[in-house]
Amino acid sequence: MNKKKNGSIKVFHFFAMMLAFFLLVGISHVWVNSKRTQMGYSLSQIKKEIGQIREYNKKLQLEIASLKSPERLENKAGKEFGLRYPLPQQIIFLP
Amino acid sequence: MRIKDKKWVRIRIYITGICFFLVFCLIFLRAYQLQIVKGSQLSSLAKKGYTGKFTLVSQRGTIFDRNGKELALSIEVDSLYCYPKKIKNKKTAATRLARALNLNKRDVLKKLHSSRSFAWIKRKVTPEEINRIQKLNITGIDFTQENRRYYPCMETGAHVIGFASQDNKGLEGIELQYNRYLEGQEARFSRIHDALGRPLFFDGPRIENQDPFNLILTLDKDISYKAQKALREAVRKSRARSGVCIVMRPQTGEILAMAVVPEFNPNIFWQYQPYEWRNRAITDCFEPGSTQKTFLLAGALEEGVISPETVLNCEKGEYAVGSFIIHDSKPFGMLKVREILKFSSNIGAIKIGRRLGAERFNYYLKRFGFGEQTGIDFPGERKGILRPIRNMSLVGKNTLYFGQGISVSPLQLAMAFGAIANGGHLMRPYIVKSIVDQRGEAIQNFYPFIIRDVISPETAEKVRGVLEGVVRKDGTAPKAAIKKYSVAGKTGTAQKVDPMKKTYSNKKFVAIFGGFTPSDSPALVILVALDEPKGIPYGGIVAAPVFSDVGCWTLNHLNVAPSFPPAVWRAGQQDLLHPIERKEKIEILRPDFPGSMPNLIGLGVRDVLKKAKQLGLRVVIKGSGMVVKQVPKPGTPLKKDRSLTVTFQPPA
Repeated sequence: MNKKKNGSIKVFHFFAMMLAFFLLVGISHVWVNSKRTQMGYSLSQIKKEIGQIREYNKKLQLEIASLKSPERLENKAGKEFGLRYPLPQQIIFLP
Repeated sequence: MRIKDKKWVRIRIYITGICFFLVFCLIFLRAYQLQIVKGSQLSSLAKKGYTGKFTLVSQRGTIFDRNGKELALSIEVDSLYCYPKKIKNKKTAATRLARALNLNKRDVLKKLHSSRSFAWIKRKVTPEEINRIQKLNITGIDFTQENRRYYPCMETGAHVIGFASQDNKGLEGIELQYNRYLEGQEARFSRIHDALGRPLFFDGPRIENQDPFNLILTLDKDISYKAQKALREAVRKSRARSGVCIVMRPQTGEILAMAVVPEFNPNIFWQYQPYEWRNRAITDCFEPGSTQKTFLLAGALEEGVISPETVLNCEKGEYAVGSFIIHDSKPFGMLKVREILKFSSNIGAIKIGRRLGAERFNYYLKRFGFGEQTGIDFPGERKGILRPIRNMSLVGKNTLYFGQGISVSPLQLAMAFGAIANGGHLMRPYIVKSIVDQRGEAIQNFYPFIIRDVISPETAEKVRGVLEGVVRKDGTAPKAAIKKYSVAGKTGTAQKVDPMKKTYSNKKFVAIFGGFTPSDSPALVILVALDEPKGIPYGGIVAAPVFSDVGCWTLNHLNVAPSFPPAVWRAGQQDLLHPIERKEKIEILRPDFPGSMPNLIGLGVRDVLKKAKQLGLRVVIKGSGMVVKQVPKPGTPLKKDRSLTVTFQPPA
């Protein structure tokens, strides 16, 4: 009778451990998946931000290029600051 | 427990067991149906639910000048569209949209009434307009991102760069020629999203070569601006129909500037007429007039039939050829060949031509590249007209010596002057220096290419000496002179053919000046041509000042040392003396191109080893410092053993 009882307790333990194991595996699976989703969200968010920053950078490049256009610089130098091109005799070449 | 009860319990257990079995069978069958029978259909249905396709519009590549300044770049802008069927109150919506976007209300309403399911309202709207539209809160309208091309330098270099359409297709110029590199590819991605449609992450392989390439041109933005400005002013002053100014490096054939008037702003190209878009430096041809005498002189000197000091009779300004009388602008008597060019005597040119012979002259014209395309990387190049001598009359042969009966493009003329400037090599002109990827690594470089050797360096030197006389005070183009620098060039005033009368017009001319500076070590070839200037039409009067203006500015910009010591130009004696001997001449060597030994003179050990490694050369190094000598010489074709001996010396 005792032997039979001991046997059933072992089976119970075995099943309990199996259950605990599967539970653990299941929970880890869910955790990994939720983490993956979360990272997916932040990844796509970061990608979007990179795209926006790149685009902003390009717009700034365009602005710099427009501001540095020779026509604008020449006008500004001449009219605002009273600068002019040097006369040939004002240019000194160093040997 | 009675036996009857026990039996009943057993029956109940069996019934329950059978029920469980049946339910499991049912579940199994359903699972079989879902997974095996309809499996693929259902999984694709599910995938559709959580994945979405999205298109990444490719951005057009950027075009840079030789110093890395942006000449054309694309940025993303929003475009507004609508689903006409979803808009309820179309009249009110049209009124509000038209007000916010500054459009015609009737046009907007027409778009909203469109029978199609999609219609553009306004493409490429500004950020302010987006704000205004968002505040209106109209259902059935939405934004999508598109690329817009910007040309920050506006008119500068516009004819070379060309422009691209709203749909990212190159339509003119370099944008058209290199469209397949610039446009990139549209990339389609599949993306997983959640129930609310928020993207989770990108999936699917990225299409290779999706990114467009960038171009680095040989153009210099600042020189182009100066050339454009000077030409615009000259065309305005002379009330010419159009004008062209080409600035080129004679040693390499790199185009530094190609200015054309009438000009256009590529940012709003649709507001201009197609004739204003045309790059006349490449697509238009005219008779070269007296500039042709330069190549006549080169051919005759090369053949040894004359020397610069040979004296010829210029017949007091009148000379009969067949039934025609050829005139000079002034009557000249006996003139040296040097003076014939200086005063641009047509009769003198005929006398030189007769010594050379029409067949040989025609041969030299072909060698200088006339009658064939220069091979520039630009669409729509014309090759001009060079007729065979056997089809020419006596008068035709004689007038060819001073540039009638032949048509050339400004670029051909510039390249021919380049051949004289660089010691006799006809170079292939080019505008794109390299094609680079988005990381800046070159996928293709373009190198200088010698089409052929036309004349010997000694002949080129003699021609240069003669052409220096043209810009002296008593020559035809003193206005082309540049203070401090030596200049060699030739004027041309070509009569245009009147298409109605089919004879040369006495009112319509092309004024030309072509030349190079400093003539003792040419850094620049500049060609200026003005079509139909009003008033005085002479090349030396209307075109030469543009040469001088652009040349002076560019030489300073490129830090080229003056040709004369200060004492000479201060005393105004520049005209009387020869330029000083340059310590550092610009070497006129066969430039580096694939398959030939590169020029290593002046490089350090590290650079030499780097170049040698690229070419797989075995290097023997002698001494230390900078390279002063190399064997084999630059430009020599690479041999099989690929050995190279380099002598270094410390800089003094």
